[in-house]
Amino acid sequence: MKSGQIDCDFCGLPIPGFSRTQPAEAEGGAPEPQFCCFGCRFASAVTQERGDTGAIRWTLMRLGLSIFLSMNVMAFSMALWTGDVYGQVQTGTLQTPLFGLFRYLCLLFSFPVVVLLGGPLMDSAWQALRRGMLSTDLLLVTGTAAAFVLSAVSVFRDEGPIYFEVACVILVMVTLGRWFEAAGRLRAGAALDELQRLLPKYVRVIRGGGDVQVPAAEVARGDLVRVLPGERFPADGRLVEGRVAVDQQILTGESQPVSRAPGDEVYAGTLNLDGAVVVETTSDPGTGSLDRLIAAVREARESKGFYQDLANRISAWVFPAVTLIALATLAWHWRAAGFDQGLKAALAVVLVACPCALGLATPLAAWTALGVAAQHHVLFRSGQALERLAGIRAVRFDKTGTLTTGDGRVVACMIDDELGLAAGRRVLSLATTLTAGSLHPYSRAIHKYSSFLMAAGWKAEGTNEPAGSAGPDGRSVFCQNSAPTRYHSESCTEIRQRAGRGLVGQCSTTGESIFLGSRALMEEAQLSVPPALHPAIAAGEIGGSPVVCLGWNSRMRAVFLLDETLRHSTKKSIADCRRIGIDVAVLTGDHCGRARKLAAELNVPVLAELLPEQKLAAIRETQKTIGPVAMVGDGINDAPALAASDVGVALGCGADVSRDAAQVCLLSDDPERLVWAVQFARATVRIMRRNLIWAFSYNCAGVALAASGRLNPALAALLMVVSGVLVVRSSLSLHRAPGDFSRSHCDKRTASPQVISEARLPAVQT
Amino acid sequence: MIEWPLIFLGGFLGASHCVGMCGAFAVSIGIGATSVRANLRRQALYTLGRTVTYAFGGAAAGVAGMRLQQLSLAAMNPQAMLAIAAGTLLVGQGLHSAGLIPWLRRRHVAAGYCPAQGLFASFLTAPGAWNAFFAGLLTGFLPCGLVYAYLVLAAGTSSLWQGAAIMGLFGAGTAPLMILTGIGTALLSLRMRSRLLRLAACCVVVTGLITIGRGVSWARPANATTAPACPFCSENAD
Repeated sequence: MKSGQIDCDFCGLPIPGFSRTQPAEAEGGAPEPQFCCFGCRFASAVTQERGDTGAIRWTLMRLGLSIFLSMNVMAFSMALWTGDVYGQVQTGTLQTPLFGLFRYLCLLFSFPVVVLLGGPLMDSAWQALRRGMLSTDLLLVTGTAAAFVLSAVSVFRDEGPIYFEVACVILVMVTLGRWFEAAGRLRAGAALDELQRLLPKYVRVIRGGGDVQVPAAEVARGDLVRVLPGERFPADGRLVEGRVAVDQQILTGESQPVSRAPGDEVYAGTLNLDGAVVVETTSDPGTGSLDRLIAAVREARESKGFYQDLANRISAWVFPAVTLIALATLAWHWRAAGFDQGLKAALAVVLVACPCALGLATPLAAWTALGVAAQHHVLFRSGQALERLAGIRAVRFDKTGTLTTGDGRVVACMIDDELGLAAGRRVLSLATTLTAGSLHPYSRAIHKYSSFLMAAGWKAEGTNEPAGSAGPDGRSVFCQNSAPTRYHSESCTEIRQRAGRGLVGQCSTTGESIFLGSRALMEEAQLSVPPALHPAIAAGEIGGSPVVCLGWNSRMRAVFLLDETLRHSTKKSIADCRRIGIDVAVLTGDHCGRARKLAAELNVPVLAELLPEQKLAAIRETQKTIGPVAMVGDGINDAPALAASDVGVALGCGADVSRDAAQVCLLSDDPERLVWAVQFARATVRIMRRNLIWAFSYNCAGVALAASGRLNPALAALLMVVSGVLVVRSSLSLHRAPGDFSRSHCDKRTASPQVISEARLPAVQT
Repeated sequence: MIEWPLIFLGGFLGASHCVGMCGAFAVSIGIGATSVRANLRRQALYTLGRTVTYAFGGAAAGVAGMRLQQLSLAAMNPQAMLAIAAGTLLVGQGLHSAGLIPWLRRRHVAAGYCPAQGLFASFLTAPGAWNAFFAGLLTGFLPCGLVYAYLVLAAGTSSLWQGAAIMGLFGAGTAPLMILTGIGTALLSLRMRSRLLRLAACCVVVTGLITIGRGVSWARPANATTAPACPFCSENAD
């Protein structure tokens, strides 16, 4: 929770404009519960009373009784208005006493209503006053009390108009309306509550040789926890005992289970499918992956986007404006038609101008949207991110790791054999250590490849194919020696990453600088290309494979040709983006040959050989020519470009949402959700705008009508409730998200075996 | 008036239409009861609550009709207009219930959040007897085509107490079947219920036709001073 911002005790949403002062201590020392509005206070009282016994107690009974009594008061009032007590049958002597009786009946029946419902309203107004906030509740209480007292006086004096029904209807409608809004606010958090409910409340901890049921909040880091099939992991942890298949859909959106063996990480909230396992927790209680996701969404709620800001600014001067207009109306109609008319008109003004709908219009939609998006595996870090994503006109994809899966592999490695046998071994060991710490997909592929070969004890045979006559597809030139011997590996120290170009390290034995990266890096380091390696490079360019070079001491020594697979939904995502009117292009640092192949395959413009600064420039260019741009990357290697774009979208943050600073995180690895996210953001912004326009114009028109004295305050109260309910319903309709194919999209995936631990071996030529 | 018994009968048989929508509520009212007698009491209170709300609605409708008459907006006297409108609505409702107007069938809009559900559910499930009354009070406000049609009829009377009486009678007519449903005895098989529904629909249609006839016979330009008496009864129109 951000400092200074506290949440309503009932609906869990931030209390607007409330800075944290010391809450008054009730008896017993427990802090007083804080509510954001009268409705939440009322609803909370109802729920609390209902809690243990299931019986409705006094609060709800009050409301029911008030409704019944109000109906009677209205019926009596109508009889008084129309003079139609017994039709045209009884006139003359009986009429006047009957009328008098009805007036007293009105008083009698409305008095309980004022006491029952006016009390809580006054309470709420008083609480707001103590916080230093003047609320419309105060105005309403004053007006209603005035109406009642004046009518009572009229009854006792036996002359003058009465308007008990105004007081009754106002009280009933305000209570109902505010409660409906509170219920709506509670429902806005429903998505998050559903996520929260997934985490188990009680956890089986292994203590003293046996299993003990412990509340989840008391499980400490390092505890051993037993999780049975069908249960969800209560915290992040490391598997200690047993193998298990885990459904990680809640975090990554992928329905295909992943296999976990002892030593592997498991995440809080994921589902244990088939094995009883023991896990050692690695996160503190309440900070597992799912908890962090929920916390991120809660934090997002507190931010204010453009529309929320606008609504807040408007609401800020509503109260003084409404007071002024109400007083003016009172004075005007008092002079024109008497105090009671003036009071009724003023009351109508206050009721119709109530900014509840305005204040609720934007936030409710934003809060609902944030929760629903999280359920659909899209995390917006703020309401602003939502609004920005709705406004984008172009999207730029990074290639590696975004459009392609993160597990590429090395298909061929060509080594310049001029320096003899030792070169091959040296290349492998240096490559292994250089890439050990890097997270770039190419580095990981090379690391997997070279470390595997090192571990298997393979070394180079001197019988490489003669220089200049390597096969056209550059097959691997390693083969197994008859007597494999271990090789002392050389290692690199002081490894530095040159963004967009590659890695540079210092060899531990010779002190030379070792370079591993793109052709651009080679040129920068002034490493010449030996003729033996030309075919490999050419093969890469023509065949469109990514090419990574390794070199030191002013010469390139080896070329790695990689193969990467496109994510299966890439083509569809790009087509979908076009379909909803977004301009698409791909930015990559790879060489042009690779770019050409990709462009042909995906039918999309690909800008190649871009250094990070050039990616930034490309984004700025797009911002100037087309409009707001979203940049989609994996969040690790593209941070500057993500930051420069209007909206940065990161993929694959499912397991660890706190790591990324991108404004929008797609929890799964798939760019497919991007289009859904854009459409959802657009729908949300549409609703926010619609709500705002509706609430504001309704308020203005209503105030104009009420100030002219033509609006009955009872009708005004009813209109207020209707308006509030409409805004709530409109906002909550976001629960039915557009294109709701959240679960089934995973089924379209063709079954591909999950790579779990084996390295894919390159083909070997003997 | 020839209509009073028909209205009661309309309510009685139309209740099988009510059972479809409000029957579930009646059953959940009954869940909290401990014995059949307690259940009976709850069901009676529930129906009383509904009837009170209907009567209130009828009173309001009657006053509205009276106001309409005073304003004399229409080309013909409002009473006749309202009677014809009510009759048409009733006929339409009856035909719709009988399933004879397929193209008018509204698609059931799924989802949509009802803000009153928390309030309503609280009253429905609470064990106290008076909560059943309040639940009934709220149930009366539920949107229902049949109720609306009778409300328009009530408006046609242009009288507060007559309007209230019409709706009260309608509510009382729905009482027997709703109470029986709430008690939980599955008195009616599905087949029987659908037959009854069709009978109810016919009854509603007949009421509607009679009302239309009444309205037509009353119809006079607004500036006419008197209207001839309805041939079916001796009461004057206005």
